[in-house]
Amino acid sequence: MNLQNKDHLDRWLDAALRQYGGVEPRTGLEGRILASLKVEAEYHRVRNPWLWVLAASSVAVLLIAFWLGIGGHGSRIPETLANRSVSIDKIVGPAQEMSKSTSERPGTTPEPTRTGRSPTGRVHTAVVAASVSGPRLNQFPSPHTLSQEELLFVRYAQDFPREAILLAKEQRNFEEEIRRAEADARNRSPNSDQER
Amino acid sequence: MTEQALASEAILMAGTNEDALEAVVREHARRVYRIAYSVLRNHHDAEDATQETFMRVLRYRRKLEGIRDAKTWLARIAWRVAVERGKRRVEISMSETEVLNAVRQLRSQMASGEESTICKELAELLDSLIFALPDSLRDALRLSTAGDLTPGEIARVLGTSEASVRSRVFRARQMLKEKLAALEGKYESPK
Repeated sequence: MNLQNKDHLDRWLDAALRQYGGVEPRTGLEGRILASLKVEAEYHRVRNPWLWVLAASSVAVLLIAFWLGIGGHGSRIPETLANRSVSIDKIVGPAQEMSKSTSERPGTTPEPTRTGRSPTGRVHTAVVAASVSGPRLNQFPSPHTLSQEELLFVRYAQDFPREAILLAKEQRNFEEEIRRAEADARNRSPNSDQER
Repeated sequence: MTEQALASEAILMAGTNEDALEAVVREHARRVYRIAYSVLRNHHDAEDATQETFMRVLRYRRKLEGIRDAKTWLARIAWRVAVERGKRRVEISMSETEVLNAVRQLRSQMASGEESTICKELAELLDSLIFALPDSLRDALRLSTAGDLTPGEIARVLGTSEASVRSRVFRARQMLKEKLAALEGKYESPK
């Protein structure tokens, strides 16, 4: 190849490389890119809150499960004791105490405790749940704590017993008078109906 | 504030401001597209690579705070995306007839001395010759043709020096000319 041809080739290569690199995209490239970017941004905007909601709800579920596990554990103890055969050497102590406490109460019978031997020869005791759930009270219904007014009345009666007795008598007389008046009124009303 | 700093700020704002996002895309989309096309040589793939480049910009815009030159940063992302996608590209194979047609057109264009549009076969020939270049030369040449990137910017994209880029582009052109001359000699028409 001569020098002139080399020069021509050089120029041709310049032009060819310009065409090689100077490509134009299809019309609307920017619009398509912007549209896809908006979709992507929107997707992230929507997805992130849902992730937070999901995380928060899963944490809440875990906390509830944990709380139920702890809360339910205490209440389940008597039930499991009732339904399960417990080794005698572990249960005999509390069971005896309970039977003592129930036998001391007036009007109550000791809770039945069934003892038996397992095929292995080990002694087991089945304890009824009611006997374990708590000490039985002597009074039914259970006495409630006194209200503020009742406490004041009790204190008054302690401080001024005579006046309190007089007041109680007066109150009783007043209630009896009212009761009598009501009875008279009831007796009169059938007579008046008959007169009509 | 310099132009590059403004571009960086615009990209930073692009995550929250739609106008800023649009400005960034309008300013850089064509350059990014050309860089992608120089590697992939396919409009569809180049557009996909362009979209992915801007997706990455949107995703990692917070990292731009320490970047001074947004133009080069974008060019580097586009280059990496295109190279990742272009790994599957197979070598162009041309038949003997196609090469002959390409050489004939090359000869006629050189004889006329006019800058006319190169035909499909000649474009394919040039593409196959560039594809056959060594990697370092090919990358420098492609980036030098792809857009308005200076040798310094190309050097930052490729992670090399400016002098190295200039040298690589020169050597790549030399090799192309030698190959074209060889082809012309090989298919020289009988007188």
